[in-house]
Amino acid sequence: MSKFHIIITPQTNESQLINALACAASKMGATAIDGIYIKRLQDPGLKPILSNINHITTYEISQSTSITAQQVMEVLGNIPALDSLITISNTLSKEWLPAFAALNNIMPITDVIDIKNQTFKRPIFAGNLIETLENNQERALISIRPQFFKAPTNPSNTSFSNVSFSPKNTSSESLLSTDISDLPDLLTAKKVVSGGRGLGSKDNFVKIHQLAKQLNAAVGASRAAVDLGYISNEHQVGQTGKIIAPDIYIAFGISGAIQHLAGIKDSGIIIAVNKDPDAPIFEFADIGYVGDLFEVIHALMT
Amino acid sequence: MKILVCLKKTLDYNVNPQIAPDQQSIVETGVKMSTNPFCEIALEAAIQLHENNPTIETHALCIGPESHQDILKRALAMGAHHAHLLKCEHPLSTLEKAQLLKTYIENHPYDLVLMGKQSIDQDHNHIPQMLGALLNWDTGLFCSKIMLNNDHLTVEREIDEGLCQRNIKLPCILSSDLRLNQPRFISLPKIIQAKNKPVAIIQADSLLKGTGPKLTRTKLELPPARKKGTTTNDLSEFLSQLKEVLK
Repeated sequence: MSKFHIIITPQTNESQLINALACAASKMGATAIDGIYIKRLQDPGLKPILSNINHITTYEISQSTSITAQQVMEVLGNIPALDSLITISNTLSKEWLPAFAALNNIMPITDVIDIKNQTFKRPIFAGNLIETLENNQERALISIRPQFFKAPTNPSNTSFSNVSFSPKNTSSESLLSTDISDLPDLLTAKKVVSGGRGLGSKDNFVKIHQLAKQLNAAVGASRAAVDLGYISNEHQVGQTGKIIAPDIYIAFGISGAIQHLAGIKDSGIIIAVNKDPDAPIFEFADIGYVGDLFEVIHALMT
Repeated sequence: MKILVCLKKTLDYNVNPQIAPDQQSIVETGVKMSTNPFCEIALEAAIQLHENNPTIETHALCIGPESHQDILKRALAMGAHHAHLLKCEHPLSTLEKAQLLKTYIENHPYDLVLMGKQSIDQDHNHIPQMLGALLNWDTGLFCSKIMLNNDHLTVEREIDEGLCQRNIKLPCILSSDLRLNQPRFISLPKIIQAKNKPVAIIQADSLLKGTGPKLTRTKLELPPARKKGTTTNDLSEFLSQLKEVLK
């Protein structure tokens, strides 16, 4: 069987993501796994990790702007042509993985939630159905949703090496808005506090941030809250936003459209607060409160 | 300038998909089918670009059997100038569709290809990226704003880190996110008028290189159901439950 490479780009909680990738590779029957970490100058680099990965090569790109899909593909040009790749499903891999796959005449398998050898499960129809796919190709190009790969792997000693990399493709883009906060990362947080239309205003949405801070939780939002300008798009949870599975998800003023539920339904415990007793989120919530969300936030803050 | 908008026909977004008895496919007969919402947003964007610059010509394209002409007629009713069906009777993978579109575009040049970022049935988010790679064109994915300048486009894109802006040279491929626009309402007279407008049919099977399926769907199943929990309107009861969980 061909070799396996896990591909990592800068994200928070990289060691957790590497473990998820290593777990996914093991489920594909991988015995030898190597890693490629692509980082910019300012990214701190990987902390020592315990996993079943033999060796991780860090490619340090001589620039400070966001890493582009073209640059990832340039780095991947160094990998033998038949090796399988596994990466995390995120907006960057959504760019490069299908592009890389097309250039290699491979059908990629993306947003995978379970693996058994060459059989892969992925959600379709906003998570309403799960399809099982059999890979008939020599090579597998896979992206996974990390929260579904938590099984421990047999750790070995991972060795590291560094390569300086000057990409030919230097096209860049500027980040217009981003939310820099010291709160946990939405994708990997154990607790998420989320707000929707029911918050009523951007000023009121600050209460979600405050509560998140108190609970050491990440901040999420419904599409409606982002559309209304209460919070920026990177906090959106749902079919087209981030798909998350925290241990505890608390939704304030979110009615729970099917597209939003697609993003949270694998959470451990779902708690919903909404003044509408018929809100669809109560069909999913483990604990629900029909009433004023501000009273609940106030009570939790004091 | 010529814009191509690729449209997919999917189950209507209000329809709850049902697994067929073969446990491998979705029930499509007797079920409402519509234009994939993301594709409709891409079409609206193209029509708006034309409205701002009348020299721009908009073309709608769909891959599928002849019965898919209905969504092309709808695109014409919405304001597309021309419609093309790449006629293909059997389902294709995202890679095959991208390869087919590449061959088509090489023979029918366009300046800009607009597509939905994903379809609401398969949720793949593949084809714009694949087509960009195959044509070696620049791509702007997950666009929530498109501004056309003289020789280039400026797009705003929604990525994990936030909102970013990029300049993109033509020809290029853009994929639309939900916040790009709100597709217009199509009036009944326009729908009736469009019934008589032609749809060009191109036999796509001859353009395809048959290689056998790279992936085989072996099963379709429902996800594990979540149990319905308890709902209360007693604040103190709720708070004590919540505090227990948060411990």
